[in-house]
Order: sequence, then C-alpha cells, then structure tokens
Amino acid sequence: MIGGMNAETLGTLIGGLLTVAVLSYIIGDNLFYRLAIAVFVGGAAAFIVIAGAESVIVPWLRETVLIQPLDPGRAAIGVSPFILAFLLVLRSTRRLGGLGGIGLSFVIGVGTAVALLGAVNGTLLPLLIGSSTGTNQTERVISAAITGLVLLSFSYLRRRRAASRPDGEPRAILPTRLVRGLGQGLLIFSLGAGYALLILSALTALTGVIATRLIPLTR
Amino acid sequence: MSDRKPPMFSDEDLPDWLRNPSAASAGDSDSASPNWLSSSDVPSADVNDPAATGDYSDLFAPDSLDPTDPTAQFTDPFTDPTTPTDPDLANLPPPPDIPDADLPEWLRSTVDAPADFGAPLDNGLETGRESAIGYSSTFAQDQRPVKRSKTDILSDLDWLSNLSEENSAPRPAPPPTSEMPNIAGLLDPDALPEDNPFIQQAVEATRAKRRERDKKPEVVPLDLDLPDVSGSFDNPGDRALTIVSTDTDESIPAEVSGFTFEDTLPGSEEPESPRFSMPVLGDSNALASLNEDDRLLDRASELSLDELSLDEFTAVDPAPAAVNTRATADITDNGLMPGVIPPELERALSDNATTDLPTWLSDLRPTGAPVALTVGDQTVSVQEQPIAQMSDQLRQLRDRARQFTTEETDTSPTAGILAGITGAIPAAESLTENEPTILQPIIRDYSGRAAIMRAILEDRPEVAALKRPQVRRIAPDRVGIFVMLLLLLIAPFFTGALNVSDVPEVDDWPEALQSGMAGIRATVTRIGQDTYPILVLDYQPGTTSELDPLVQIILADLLDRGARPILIPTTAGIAAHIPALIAALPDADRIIAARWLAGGELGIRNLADLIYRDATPIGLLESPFTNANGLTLELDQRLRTELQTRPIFLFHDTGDGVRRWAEQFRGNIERPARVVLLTTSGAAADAHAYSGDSGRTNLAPPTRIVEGTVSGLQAVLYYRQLSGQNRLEAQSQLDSERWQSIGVGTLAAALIIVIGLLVNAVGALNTNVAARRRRARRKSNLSIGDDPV
Repeated sequence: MIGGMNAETLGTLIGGLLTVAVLSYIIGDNLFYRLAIAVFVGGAAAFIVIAGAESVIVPWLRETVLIQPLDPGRAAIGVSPFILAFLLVLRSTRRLGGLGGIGLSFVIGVGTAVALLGAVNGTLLPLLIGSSTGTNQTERVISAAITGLVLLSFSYLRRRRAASRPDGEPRAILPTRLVRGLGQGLLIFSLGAGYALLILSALTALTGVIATRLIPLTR
Repeated sequence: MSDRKPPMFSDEDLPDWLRNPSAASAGDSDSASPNWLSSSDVPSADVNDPAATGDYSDLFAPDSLDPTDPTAQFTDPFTDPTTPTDPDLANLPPPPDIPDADLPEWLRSTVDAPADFGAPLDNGLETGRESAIGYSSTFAQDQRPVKRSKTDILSDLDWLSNLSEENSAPRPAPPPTSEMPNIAGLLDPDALPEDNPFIQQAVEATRAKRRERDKKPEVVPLDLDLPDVSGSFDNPGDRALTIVSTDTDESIPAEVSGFTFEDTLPGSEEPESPRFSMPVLGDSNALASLNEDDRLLDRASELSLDELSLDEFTAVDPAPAAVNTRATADITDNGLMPGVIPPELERALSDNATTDLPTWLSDLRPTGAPVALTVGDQTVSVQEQPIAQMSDQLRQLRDRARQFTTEETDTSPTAGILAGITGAIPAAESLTENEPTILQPIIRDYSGRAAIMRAILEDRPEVAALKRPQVRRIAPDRVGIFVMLLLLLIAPFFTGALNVSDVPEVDDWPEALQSGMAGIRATVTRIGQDTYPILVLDYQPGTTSELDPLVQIILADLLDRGARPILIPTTAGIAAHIPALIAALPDADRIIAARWLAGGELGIRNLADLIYRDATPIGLLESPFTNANGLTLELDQRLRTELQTRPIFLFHDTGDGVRRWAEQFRGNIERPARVVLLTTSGAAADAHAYSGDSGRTNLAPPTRIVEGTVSGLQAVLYYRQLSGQNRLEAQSQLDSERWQSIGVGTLAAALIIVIGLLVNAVGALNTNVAARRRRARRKSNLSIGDDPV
C-alpha cells in the first residue's frame, strides 16, 4: 500500500498518465511526450538486458561452457558468440574498428541467408505452385491480372520525342498511362484497406486500455 | 622570404685581428691578417671579354666528373681560363636598341633605377663593413628597400670570391642565426688600420671596380641569335635546369653532394655562408639519382628549358653579366647562379614572392610546402603542382580565373560584414557593370551570391527572423480531431446513445469469421487432458489490448480441457508480460511459460528443427520449456511426437511476423505442421494471404496446414459466444461497450477521412481553377498590344 493505494492501482494510474502523455503528441512535441518515451525506452532497454541474460545468455553458458563434464568442442562453440560480440564492440574504436566488421558480417550474413531461404521456400515457391495448381481458375486469373497491373504501374515508357507536361514530367503513351492508372488504383485500394485495418487495430487497442484501465476507476 | 638566417658567432669564432683590431695593427700584421687575401689577385674581369662570358653550352654539358669520386674537383667553366670561347658569342653583334615599352616590367624597373641607387651599399663596401666579413646575403636582405639586385651586390664582392680556391680551408657551416655580430665599431672607417693590407686592398678593389663599371656602361653583347643550346642535349633529363636549395645536406644523394660548393672565404676564420648544393647541369647521373620520392624534390624548383624564353635572357640587365667570372659560378644564398638567372628572378625566389614571378616561371614553380588558405577561422591546405601536370580542364579554368584577377590587398576590410578577413569578398565590389561584356553574366552571378552572403551574415530583420527558433504552432484541426475521437471512444462506456450496432449473435457473424473460427474451435476441442499445446506469443506490448483477450480466451478453453499449455514469447516485452497475462486465468500454474525465444528467424528455425526435424539445435539443448517456477519439461521423444501432432497457436500483431513464421515453417519442416493463426486486425490481410478460405492454405502443398485464421476483437467475442465463456454478465457488458466504442470510433475516423478527402479535393479543384484563370489572364495580357505571330 502506498498512500492508500495498492500497487495495482498505482500502476494503473501511472500507466494511464503515461498513455495520456504519449497521446499528447497529437498536439505537438512536448515535454510529457518525451518524458513518456524516455521512460518507455529506458524501461524496455533495462528489461531486455535482464531478459536476455536470464533467458538467452545464462542458458547458453550452461549448455556449452559450464556443462559438466566439460566438452571442449561445445565450449568452443559456446565462446564463439562472445568473441563475435567483442568484435562488434571494437567497432566503436577507430584503430580496431575494422575487426568489428567480421562480427557484423557474420550476423548479417547468417540472418540474410536464413531469411532468403525462408522467403524462397516459404513464399515465392508456394506462390508459384499455388498459382499453377489451384483449382479456382477465376481467382488465378484475377490474381495474375492484379499482380501484373500493379507491377506495370511502375513502368515509365514514353514516346521517344514525347512532349513533356507543364511540370516537366514526360508524357507517357496512352497504354502505359492506362495500365499505370489501373495499377495505381489497385495500389490505392490495397493501401487503403491496410490503413483501415491499422486504424481498426489502433482503436481496438485504445478501447482495450479504456475498458480495462480507465473505466474500472469510474465504477 | 628565405628562412635561412645569418649564423651566430661568438668571439671565439672571429679571427684575432677582428676581435682586437688595434692589437692586430700594433702587432705583426702578417700574423694577424690572413695571408690568402694579400696573395690573391685583384679582380680584373672584363665584361666585354668573351672568355669571361663563357660558353653556355659548356655550362650545361660538362660531364667530366665522376659522381662516385668524392675527391673530384669541379672546374667552373666561367673561371677556367682553358674554357674555349664560343666564337659565336665573341662575334655577337651589338645589342639592339630595345624601347622601354618592349621591356618586361621587372627589367624596366631595374633599368630605370637611379645611377647612384647602389651608393649606400658601395659606401658600405668601401668602409669594409661587409667585405671583411662576407655577409653579402644578409646585408642585401637588410637593404631590401633599395632596389638593387643581389647580383649587383655580389658583383661588388666578386673580389672575395675571386680568391684562390687552393687556399680555402672548408669547414662545417655554423648553425644559422639571425643575429649579426657587432662589428660596426671595429669596422668603422676611421678606426680601420691604415696599414692593414686586407682592408686597404678590399677598399681599393671595390673603388676600382666602380670606376671601371662607370666607364663602361655597355650592355652585354647578347642578341636574339644566341645558339640554341637546348638542342645539344641528348635526353630530356639533361635539358632540365635544376636548382636545388637545401638547408642541410642530409637529403642530398651522394652524387649530388660531391659537387658541393663551399661558399666561404678561403683560409679565413670568418663564419661561412651556408652551403648550397646543386646537381651539375647536364649530369644525367646526378639527375637520375633524384628519386621522385626523395624529399629533396620537395624543396627543389625545376625549370624546363623547353619553356624558358631566351628573349628574356637577352633582356637581362647588363650589370649581372658584368659580374666576375668567379662570381658568376658562385652560388647565392638561394641556390641560384647569378648571371644565369635574371636578377628579378633571383629577388623573387629569395623572397618567395611567387606572385612577383614572371608568368612562365610562376607556372612552373609551385610552392613546395602546402599552401594554407585562411578565411576567418577556417584553414584549408592546398598542395600546388606545376601547370604542366594539370589537366586541360583545370588549365582552362585557371586561365579563365586569371582574367578576374583583381587588385590584391594585404589589409583586411575594416568595415562591413567581412571585416578582418584578409582577401575575402571585397574583390566582388570591384566588379561592376562597367566590366567587359564577357564578364557580365559572371558578375551578376557573383554579385547575387555576395548579396546572399550579406543577407545571411548581416543582421537584417529577415535573417534575424530566421535565426529565431521556430515555435511549433498547435494545429487546431488536429486538436479538434483528437478531442472528438477521444470523447467518441469514451462515451459508449457511459451511455448507449451512441451505439451504432449491437454485438452480433453467433449466427450473425461474418461467414469468413465463422469459417475460420470453426476450425480453431474444432482444433481446441480435440486437445485432450495433459497434452502440451504450444502457444507462440509474437507481438509487442503495444498490441496487448487487442491480442491478450484472444490469448486468454484460448488459454482458458485449453485449461478447461485439462491441457498444459506452453507459452513461448519471442519478444522480451511479452516475456515480461506473461505473468500479468495469465494472472487472471484459473489453473494458471499449469501453464508452462517458456523462456524467451530470441534470434528472430533463427530462433523460429531452431524451434522448427526442435519440433519437426528431431534435431536439437545448440541454444535449445537445455529444454526451453521451463516455467518461472522451475518446472522443466524435458523434450523426450514422446513429447516431441506429441508436439508434432498438435497444432501450434501463433499470435501475431504484424504481417511481417506472419510471413516470417510461415516461411520458416514452410521451408524447414519434414512433416505437416498444423498452425492456427490469430492476429490483430492490422495483420489480418497477411494472415489471410498465407491461409485458405476454408482454413487450409492454398499457397503451399499440404506440408503446411492452417487450421484457422481469425483476428481482432470480433474473434474474441465470437469465440466467447462459441465456448460459452460469456456467462459473466460484467464481462459481457464490458465487451459490448467496447464493441460500441470501437464502432463509434471507426465510424468517426472514417467520416473524418472522408471529410478530409472532400476538403482536400475541393481545395485542389479551386487551386487548379485559379491557376487556369491566371494562365488565361496572363495569356490575354500578353495578347494585348502584341500582335500574335
């Protein structure tokens, strides 16, 4: 109990104030918004360090370096991430900064390889296979048409000696303009739908805060 | 200005006769005075003597010395009587009468000098002040206000250099110093001992020289028909006249050091002048030894005879040509050879006054050290290079820039915005509209830039306004939207007047939602007691309000069925949020909150390997399924088989997370993975792209099966209705109010967007109409009074 309030109530109050502080950005950058952001960033950074040590680093050490009986091969593997991390730290120095590139290249290289493999096997190939083996012909045609129109909307074909518009943009040929317009229209629809979903998500989250944090205080 | 300073001498360095002249005169004069001076010859060179002039080709050509022989003696062609006289030079016609207008300015200034302008120096010579010491160079620098070339001075001192070299006793040069020995009192003409043969001979020699020169003011018989000595060179290296000025000998190759001239009085005890070394002209070996990387070249000045104009040599003041032959071969303190280099060039090089050099020479002689350009407190170092090494474009730019050369000033502007900055923009003020037409565009451009600079730098009101920090104004429309949305979202919790729609009943939900939720519900109902379904929480704390109810309702249903759910967080924030998430659930102790699965795609791939490929990646050797109470779930084969047959519930808040999981599971597993996607509304589109209409994906072979995809609050409400968890009246009422709040907020946001769209459309239409009217008005104005062509 702190001043007649339990910890949960106090936490709710502080959370509500911080929420309002963040929402105050709608009227412009201000002290309260920056204070709330600083609290969030600082708290998140501190927690990430704690959670990382507890959930990642300590179990890793127990599995590799501190395992009994000691396995030299496993211990070497267990030490290697720390060597790479130390090389990354060296990037802050001018003289040995080049060594940090080794660790950075390792991290980027492995991450990119895994992501690329997953994208090819998990998205591109299934998309091609599904488009060619699907049973719904109409859906396949519509999907292919939409995909083609959106891709062609980024074309810039024009006549060799076409006149420019008053703003300097070259005037494209009619088919290009038509395809570009259709593709841009589809893009606008898709972006609009995505934006609507984001608004819906945001409103859901906001109403959740109101329903679970603010309304109980009034009832 | 040369940085070489006169040496500092102590009394010990001076000869006895100089330290104590009275004693020297009273004592044995032979022992007090150097005998080399009395035994030397008085200069007797005749300027009209072709033998004294020498052959220029011999000057460049001799290659008789072995550079590797340190004992080799250099024979000066100017002093060597055996040097044959070029008959062409001996028979040169008298010089043409060149009008002053045709002479270079530097030559005119020399010619126009008053006849007695060297009188002070000669008087000084007569008094023996310099002749006894040999500080010709230092004295010449001190007499700089008198426009007299250093070669003239040396010509008066030529009797010193005419002394026999055999009697010289070279000694190391003393360190340079800026202090002059105080010998004025010792060398006062009244105090000079009359019986000192050294002094008397010096005075007489100087007077004789002056008389001889006054009687013969003829110019040097050089004409434009000089033999082309450059053509006698065998290779380009021989055609380079290299003048090397060094302070020390440390960087000089041995071949070059072998030809060091000791510029000192033979046999004297006086301090010597600094030594200078130069490679012998035409000595290709010596020149070849000068590596480009050698620091010697950094201090060398190279003159290419290809670009030397012999016409300018012919216009040299005759006085330097009348120099004694020994003096001609002597080296000045700048490393130059008097008589060969024009006196104007000597003066310019000695003063480092590159700007005073003739154009053809300033182009060739870049400053060795980096040139520091300073404007205000900003300094930029520029390394000059010869114009011959410049590209054509740079050369053209240089030539154009030279046209704008304005009067330079050594003083800083005393007023204005550029006060205190030497050589700054004031030159712009000298460019006026009266300049030649070709400069007008540049002047306008330059003036415009100068005006901009003034506007920036001067304390003008508009500039001051720019300097003031901009205060961000509160946009009233934003504030209005914010307040209105907030009120509309809160109002449904207190009143039902704004309810836009009621919560749908079970059968009234959209068909897509019913389809997806039916698959999810069926999957949950198949999970039996003491099984271990995995729930992956891959979202950020910011979306907990939307996804937490979804997680809680699934967990509650699983716990009701006796399952032991395993929660795997993929973010640190959710890992910390799990205790609060499960706190309100019954039988929460049966939930296994696993540790944070870090690594992004790598972590997902490790988990997929762990479950579906019977592999145990390093990092997951220790069972990841350990709850906060220390309850560890060992991953044995039985559990692994069970996990492979049970679906995984994936909770995502972004489409990127959906894609990431789908890709790694699709490309890694060896058996069908049963996945249930539960996302936020924002990630619904991506989730549906990776799932099928009926809950089975249509994008992949049956290696990946999506049991169902739902999103948003409606999924919670619908699932609650399906599972009968809405039996609590308070929870049901709160869900209904929240539903109304979201509905009102969404409607208000949509209306605001539509209103904003209409306002912007109308504004754009008005703008276009106004622009069209302006164009039409402008066109009509142009037509008035002007007959259209």
